[in-house]
Parts: sequence; structure tokens; C-alpha cells
Amino acid sequence: MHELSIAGAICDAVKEHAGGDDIALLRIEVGTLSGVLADALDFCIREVARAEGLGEPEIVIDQIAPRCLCACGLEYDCTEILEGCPSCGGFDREVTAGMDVLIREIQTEGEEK
Amino acid sequence: MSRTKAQIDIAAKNRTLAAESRGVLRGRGIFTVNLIGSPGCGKTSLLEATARHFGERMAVIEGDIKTDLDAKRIEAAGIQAVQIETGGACHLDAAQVAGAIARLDLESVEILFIENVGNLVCPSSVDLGEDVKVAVVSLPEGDEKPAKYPALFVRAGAVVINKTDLLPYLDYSIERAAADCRKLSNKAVVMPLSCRTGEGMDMWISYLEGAIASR
Repeated sequence: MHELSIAGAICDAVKEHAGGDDIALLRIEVGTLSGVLADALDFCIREVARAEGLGEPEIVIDQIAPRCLCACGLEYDCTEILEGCPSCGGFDREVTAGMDVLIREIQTEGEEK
Repeated sequence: MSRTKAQIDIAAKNRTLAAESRGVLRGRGIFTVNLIGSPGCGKTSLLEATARHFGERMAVIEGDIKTDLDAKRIEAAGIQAVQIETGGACHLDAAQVAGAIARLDLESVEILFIENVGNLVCPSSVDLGEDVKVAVVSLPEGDEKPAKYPALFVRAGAVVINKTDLLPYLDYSIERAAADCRKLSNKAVVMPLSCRTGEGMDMWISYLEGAIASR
């Protein structure tokens, strides 16, 4: 529901990075536990990028499953969060990734710096 | 063409502000709860019932899209309250909460509740500077809510299952909801209670007193 403000934050960060160059490609990582909808975010980034004069970048959004570290020592990608650890079956685990939205790659149209 | 591999956390600015608030509150020995649940699950009623125990040791920041109705209810219960009206935003952010903290008199306060905008989705991922996120669900919502909204429950340090006085009228399995909560957050303290009748409130109060004592 708040994808537009997240797109705004992404474009602010990208603008800082790109120093006025048009953006060719943006790769964004969206954790499935971030509460952010990838499709809505894709749409919002395009709109904000255009409004902010960043050009019409290709947007790639990688959705990643939660990464869990189990008390038994196994680290695994947890596609079904209500299922236990694939090794010991337990739920004593820490979610180490998959809760955030991260910018992973920025490609600009400008000269190599 | 210039290519940069990056790891830029979009929530970094919010996280920095939240960390500043956390520093201020912890520095004063205050335990802070970010209360998250659906509209109508009884967050404000729970705080009214909680106020009867804590009195002036407690303060509340109220978040709503519109109106200061909740802050007025809290004040009527004899508790200091600051209302944030988001004007449409579906969750509070750290900047709004930092502004509200500045308007509170923290002198006698040992526990601060931030009642988030009623919503099971968007508030989950936004750090406000709290020590713990407490999820509130209620029986009329159905016992599958923790399973359906995992993003909140994986982050919850405690879950209140409210309106247990309605159990005779509903097909709600407290065991099922509690089991799902524990799968999603192994260490979560799950507290079925009715803030209306007072049943189970003793566990909630001792959970909070324990948290304050550990500050």
C-alpha cells in the first residue's frame, strides 16, 4: 500500500548515486516478508523515475524468500514460513534476510567514472 | 555505461531516526512497545485497561489516519497521550514518532506505547524505535490471521489474542492461533485475554512489568 513512498526513497538514493545521469537499469531486491508488492513497486518506480528526470530505466525486481538460521545450525531458504526446519523440523530460528527492500545494482547511461 | 553493484537499504534513513529515538528512550530507562493490529481489534481498549495498572508511569503515542478520538480516550483514562494523524498513510514512521516523543513529558514515564495505524500489513516492517513489536489480534477476525499475515508475526516479540470473552459465540481456536504465532516467532509470548472483562490481563501486566524491570 505504501509502494509509492518506497519508490520515492529508491529514486532519492539512486539520484544521489547517479549524479544527474540517466539510469539504464535498476535491480531491486524485495524480501517476501518486507510487506512490499513487487508489481506495485515496479509501477511506482517507473512513474517516480520519470517524474524525477531519471529516464526510463529497465527495472528488475528479484523477490527473495526469507533466509532462516535454525538453532540446529542449518541455514535455509524458507519458502513456506509455517513449515519447520528441513533438517530438524524445529522453529527455533532467526530470519536473517528476506525482510527488506534493497537496491542491488544501478546502471547509468553516462561515461565510465 | 557505468555499473554499480550496491546494497542500499531503502529503510536506512528511517532506521537511523528510529535508533536515535531508541537511544533517547532507553537512556531514560523507558520500555517502548509498538502495538500493531487490525482496525477494531481492541488496541485502544487494551491501553485503557492497561492504564488502570500503570497510571502516570505510562504514556501513549496514538497513530490514526484521521481524528484524535483515540488520544482523547487515553487522556480520559488519565494517561498522557499525543495523537499523530497521518492524513492517509497506512503506518507510522520514525520521524513522526520522534516528533511525538518530543511533545511528551517523560519525567515519570517507564513504559511508552506507540499505537500504530490499524493495519496488519504495512506497519510491520517500519522501525519506530521500539523495544518490541506487540501484535494484537481478536477473536472475531478468525484464528488464521497469524498464518495469513506472517510479516507482522515473524517480527512480534509478543502477541495479544484479545476478546476471549467472545469465545462461546465464535469458532475460534486459541490453540491454533497460538501455535501459528510460535511457529512464526519462536520466542513470542502469546497472551489470550479480554481487556473488557479483565480475564488474562494479569499475564499481560506481568509481561510488561518484567520488561520494565529488565530495562
